[in-house]
Amino acid sequence: MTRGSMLVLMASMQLMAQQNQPGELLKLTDDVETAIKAGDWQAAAKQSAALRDAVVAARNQAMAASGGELTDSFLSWLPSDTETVIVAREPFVLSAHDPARVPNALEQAQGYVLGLLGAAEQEGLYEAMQGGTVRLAAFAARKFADHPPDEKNNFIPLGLIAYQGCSLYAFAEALPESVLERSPDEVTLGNQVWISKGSQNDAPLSDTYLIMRPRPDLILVCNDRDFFSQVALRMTVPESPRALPADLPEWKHVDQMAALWAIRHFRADRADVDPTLGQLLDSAAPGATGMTLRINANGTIQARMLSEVDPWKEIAENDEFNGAAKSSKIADGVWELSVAAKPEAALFAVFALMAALGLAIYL
Amino acid sequence: MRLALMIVLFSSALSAQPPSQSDLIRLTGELRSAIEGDRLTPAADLADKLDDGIKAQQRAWLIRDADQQVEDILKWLPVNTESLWVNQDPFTIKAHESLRLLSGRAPQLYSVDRLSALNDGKFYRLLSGQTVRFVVAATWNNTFSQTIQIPALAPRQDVAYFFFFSEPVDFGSQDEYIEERPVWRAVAKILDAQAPFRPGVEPPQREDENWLALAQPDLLVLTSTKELLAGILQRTVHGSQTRALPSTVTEWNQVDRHASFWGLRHYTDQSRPKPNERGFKSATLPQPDGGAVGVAVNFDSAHQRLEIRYMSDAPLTRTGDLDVTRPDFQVDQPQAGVWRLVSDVKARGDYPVHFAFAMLGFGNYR
Repeated sequence: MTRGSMLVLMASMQLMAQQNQPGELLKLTDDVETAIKAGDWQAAAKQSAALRDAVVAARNQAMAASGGELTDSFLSWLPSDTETVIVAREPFVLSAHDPARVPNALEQAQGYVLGLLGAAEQEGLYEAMQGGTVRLAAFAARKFADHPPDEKNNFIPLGLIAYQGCSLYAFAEALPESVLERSPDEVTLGNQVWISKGSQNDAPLSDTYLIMRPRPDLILVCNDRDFFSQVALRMTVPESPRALPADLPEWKHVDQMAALWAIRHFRADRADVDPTLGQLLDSAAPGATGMTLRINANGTIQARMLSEVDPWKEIAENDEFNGAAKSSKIADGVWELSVAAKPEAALFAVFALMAALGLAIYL
Repeated sequence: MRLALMIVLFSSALSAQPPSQSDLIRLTGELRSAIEGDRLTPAADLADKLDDGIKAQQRAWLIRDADQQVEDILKWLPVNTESLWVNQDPFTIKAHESLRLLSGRAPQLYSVDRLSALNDGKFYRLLSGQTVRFVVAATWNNTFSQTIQIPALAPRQDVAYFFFFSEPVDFGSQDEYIEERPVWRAVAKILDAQAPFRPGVEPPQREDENWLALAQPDLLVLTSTKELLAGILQRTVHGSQTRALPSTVTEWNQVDRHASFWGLRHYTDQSRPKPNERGFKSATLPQPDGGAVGVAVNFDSAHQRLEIRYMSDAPLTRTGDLDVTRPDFQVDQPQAGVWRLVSDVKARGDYPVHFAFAMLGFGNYR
C-alpha cells in the first residue's frame, strides 16, 4: 500500500470515528433544531438528511461488531454441499415497497436476501415485521435448477428458479411473539416450527416454507425440509466438513466487511441441470470454479470470477449498464467486473450477478 | 369505539398535513435523549421520522404560493385553454439520470420529458441540481383522436409549461428578447403522433420546435410556438382581463387543489367525437363520448391513490378489449353525470397515471 493511499484510509477512518461520536451527533441535532426554530426549512432539510445518515452510520457501526460472529456460526450450520452464501451485513429497516423511490444496488440485493422471508406465511411474516431493523441477513442455497414445467401448458414458471436454501435474519431487538401468532406446526430438536405454502415464482403455493426462531431476535426461514433439518441439527451438534471450507480460493476474494458480500463455488457436476451454470461453463467461462460479489453502501459493485478467460467480457458491454461496467484481469485466473454507482445500471447489474450466484429470475 | 374512531380521524387529519414545528422540536428532544442513552436503533428510527417530518414541512414551504401562482397563470393563458394540470410535488432535477428512473413518479416524468428533450438535453443539464417547486401545464386546440395508446404520444397541439424554481435560473446568453424577457428557441427530435398507425412499426421522427423564456428569474415558461410565448409574456408583463377555465366551469368542483397532482379538462366540440364517429354514444376511455363535459384528476403521491372524475351522462364502454379501464380502476358513479375511476397506483403501477394524463390530453413527448 502506498503512503498516499494509507493516508487516505486513515483519514477516512478518522472521519468515520468522528461521525459516530455522540458529541458530533448531538451537535448535528442542535443544528437541525436551530433551523426548525428559525423556520428555515431548506437548511433544516439539508441538515436533517445529514443527521439521519450520521445516526444510521453510528447504529450500523455499533451493530457490525456482532455480525462477524453470527456469520461464522451461520456458515458452520450449513450443509456441506451448499453452493452459494450471500450476507447482507449492513443493517436496514424492513419497509413497504415505495414505487416512487429508485433503490440502489445494495437495496436491490438486500431484496434477494429477503426473498424467503417475503414468501413464508403467505407474505404475512414480512408484513408483521414491517419497521423492524435487520442487523444481519444471510442466505445460503444449493441445487439450483429449473422448476418442472406445469402439467397443463408445459411452461416453466416465471420468477425465481428452483433451489434449496435457508435464510437467517437477525434483528436489532427481540421480535414480539405476535409476528408468529398462530400455533407452531411441529417441534424439531426442541424448536417450534411453522410450516406454510408459498412461492417465489408465478406458480402459487408451489413451495413449502419452514420457519424457526432459534433465539428471540433470530428467524430462520427455509424452503426445503432436508436443508432445514441439516441446519437445525448442526445448530445443536456441530458437524464437519463445513460448507464452503476456508481453504477454497474464492475466500481470498471475499470482503467480509462489505455492506453485502457473496460467494459461490461452482459445481461442474450440476451444469446439466442448473441453468445458471450451464451457459456459463459451456461458453462464457469454461472451467470457471467460483465467484464472489461485493456491494458497497454507496452502490458500487465488484464481482470476481476464478476463470482462465474473461467471463464478464460480454456482459460488461451490455447496453443495460449504460457504460457503467468494466471488466479487468486483476490476477492470473481472476477477473473482476466493477460497476459504478449509477442507478440506471444497478437494476441490471444486480439482476445479472444474482443470476450468476444461482438466483436467476425468468421474466 | 367512539374514542377509537376519534383517534383514526385525528390520525387521518394529521397525515394530510406536515407535522408542526413543536412536534418536530419534540422529536429532536427524543432523538437527543436516545443518542445520549446510546440507544442507537431507536435513534436511527427517530432521525428517520424527523427527516420525513422536516421534508414534509419543506415541501409545504416550497409550494406555499402555488395556489396564487395558478390563479395568475390562468389569467396569462389563452381563454380557449382546454386542459390544465399542476404537479405540486417538488423535485430536484438530476440530468445525469435517465428518465426511465422516473418509473413510479409519472407526474414528474410528464413535467420534464419535453424540457429534457430540447437541444439534446442542453437546457435540462443546465438545470441539474435545481429544485422545481411546482409545475403547471396547459393545452388547447386539442382534437379528437380515436387512437387508444397508453402511454399516449404527445399530440400536436398547443402547450405551455410553467416551471417554478427555488433559485434563479441561468441559461447564459439568450437568442432574443420578448417583452424584455430572455427567450431561447429549442428543438427536439420526436415521434410524430399524427403519422398513420402501423402495427409493429414505430412512427417516423420529426423535428419539433419549442420556445423558452424566463418570465421571472425563477420562472421558466416553455411553449410549443413563439406566438404563444409572446402572448403569455405580453399578459405576464401588461396584465390580463381574461381568465382561462373560468370558475363557472363545473370541473373545478371535482378538483382537490391540495392534492400533490391535480388537473382538469373541459372538452370542446373539436376534442369530442362527432355523431358519426365511434365512441359518440358511449365513452371508450380515455377518449370522451360526444356529450362529455370534462375530466378532473387528483393524485395523492404519498398514498399513490389516483382518482379520475369523468363528467358525462353517457355510459362507459365496458366490454371486452374496449374496456381499457379494466382491471386498473374501481369504477362507480358518486353522483349523476359523474363517473369516478379510482386506482391504487402502488399496486397497479404507472399505467393508471398514464391513462389519466391521456384523459387530460397529454402524452409522452418522446
